[in-house]
Amino acid sequence: MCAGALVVPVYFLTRLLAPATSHVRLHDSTRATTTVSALLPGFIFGYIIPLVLACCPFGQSSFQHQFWIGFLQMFPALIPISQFLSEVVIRTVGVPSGAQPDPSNKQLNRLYFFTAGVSALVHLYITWVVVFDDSLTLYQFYIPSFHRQDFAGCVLVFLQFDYAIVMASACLAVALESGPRSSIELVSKFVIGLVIGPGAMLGFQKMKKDGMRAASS
Amino acid sequence: MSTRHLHETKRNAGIGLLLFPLLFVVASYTLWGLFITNGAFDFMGQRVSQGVLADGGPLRTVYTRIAPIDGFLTNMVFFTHPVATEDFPLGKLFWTNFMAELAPVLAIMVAEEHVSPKRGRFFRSYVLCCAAGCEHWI
Repeated sequence: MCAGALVVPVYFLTRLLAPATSHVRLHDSTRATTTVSALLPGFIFGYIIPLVLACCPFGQSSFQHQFWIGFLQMFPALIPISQFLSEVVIRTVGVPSGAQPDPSNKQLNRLYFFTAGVSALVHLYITWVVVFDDSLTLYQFYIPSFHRQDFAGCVLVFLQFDYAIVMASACLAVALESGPRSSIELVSKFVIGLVIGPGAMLGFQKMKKDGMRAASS
Repeated sequence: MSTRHLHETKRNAGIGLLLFPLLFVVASYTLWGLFITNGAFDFMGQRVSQGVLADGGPLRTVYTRIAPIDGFLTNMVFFTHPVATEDFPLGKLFWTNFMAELAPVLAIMVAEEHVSPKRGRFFRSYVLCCAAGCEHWI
């Protein structure tokens, strides 16, 4: 068995141990474009649609509901597959002649802000539900409770810890990548990342770097 | 690179080298340690072998007619089903939040791997996504 919270910290640790690749990567506009064009369809068709269908059964039978839950679980595999297929198509069609490397990487920043938009919408939805449902509180939502002894309670505790550790790892990685000059700056960037989401934080950081690069050139 | 900048870079790397393994250890205990010690793991194995959901309803076992994939999906659906039904509103709400918040993290990792100049990035990102996104593999 495996879980995201076990993989994500190790992933960011390996990136930290091998930083040489991290500064070459964002200077190819063709790749940045293919990233966005490949990932967005994968996210919409492989992730958002099954998520909606799995969460809103619309009167489906239990077996149909289970099918959409199973389909949703496969979305991590669909994203790189769609990315790969999109690359093949773009390579076959050919890269537009005269395409110049774009150091600003606006395409990649758009992807990061798209992910931030998804986070913001979900946060709004959750706030809406919690505010208008008297039986739910934010405390119950974010703090693991060991009072429920049934299987559903165990799964919820599992997911709550999984979520906390994945988000902490991602926000820590983004805060460290910004190159904080003090511990206070590191903690403040970590907290901001938790609030606005690691995607938005990364997008803002890259925009700031682009601005500094443009000013120096 | 100035001495001060070098010092800051080293300090930041040190923080990462300390905290990421710590998060891994915490995850190992809070996820699998708790899940096994509270009996949920054994319960899951028993119910899946009987072909019933945690609430006693019928468990779907055929998705693709390819046995390994079906076995994999059956376990995943059994695990996820209790927090994806109207019977447990808090669980369902948290699961929605969890999946939607995990997606940006995956998107960042895939995009960063995608633009990495190293060869074989497709397979790396594929393995990474499957491992990080799938909640349980048996």
